[in-house]
Amino acid sequence: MPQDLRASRLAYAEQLFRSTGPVAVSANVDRAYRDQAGVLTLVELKTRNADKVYLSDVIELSAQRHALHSQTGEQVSEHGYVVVQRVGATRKRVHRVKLLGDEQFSLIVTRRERLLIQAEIPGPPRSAALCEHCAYRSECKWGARRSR
Amino acid sequence: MKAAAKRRRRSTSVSASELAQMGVCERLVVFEHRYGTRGLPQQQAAIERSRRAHERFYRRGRIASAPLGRCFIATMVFGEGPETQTLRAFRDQVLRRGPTGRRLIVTYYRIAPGVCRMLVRQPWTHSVLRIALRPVIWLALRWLSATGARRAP
Repeated sequence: MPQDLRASRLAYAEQLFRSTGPVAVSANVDRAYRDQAGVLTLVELKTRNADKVYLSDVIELSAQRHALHSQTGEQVSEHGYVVVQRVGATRKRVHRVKLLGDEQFSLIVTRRERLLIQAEIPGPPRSAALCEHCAYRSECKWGARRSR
Repeated sequence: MKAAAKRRRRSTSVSASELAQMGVCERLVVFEHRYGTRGLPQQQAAIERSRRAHERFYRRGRIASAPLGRCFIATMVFGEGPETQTLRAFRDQVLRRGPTGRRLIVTYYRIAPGVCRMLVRQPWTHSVLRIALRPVIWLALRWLSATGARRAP
């Protein structure tokens, strides 16, 4: 557990929340701790090869924040924690991350919607190395170009 | 027509993990929406590994944060007496603060119900356990007073 949350109590564990609105966001919260002031802090577990935090983790935690706040009305902290457990290791490392603001989060939701209706052109991957393990490499022009 | 309508319906609801893909690759988001999730064998193995890790994470979180769980063996041999209260206070105020202590709690809660079932069948062991646990309780009391932790409620 992150040091900052020692005085907090576990409020939710492995619980699904859903927001309302034009685009409903559903999110499964790994853990949410409530501090003495009643503010919830989100904790997300990740198992991966590298002890790193990615933008996708921040987006996922921000979606959880949005859904949890929308369903319960409770205040959720603007920062959260990503607990990274490396493959084959038992120790976990905790990373504190700043979550996206409401406006930034809405922009991502809107952009995704626009990508799906082909109103915008999708951008390249975060890292070219991702294409190596992508299941759509044969269909994707970008991936095919990278693997040549 | 039907597929397009289905896509439109689906696009009004999104999961956090689907949104997170936006931080990985926008093309992947489009492909998964168009063709469904397609996993390579190593990705399936990673999903399974993650599922197991999440189960452990969930169990440990619940145990570490349980406000006042049962202290199975002590309750069985001492009842709800001061000895049990002391061991509970030691668990909550000392063991629960560190990773090794939390691991001990997890292990204890895993094996204790089985031990209790065995103890029910062997009542003579209760007095032996009471004697064996006395020094443990004494040590726990000493520890609690040395660290200034609250005594049992």
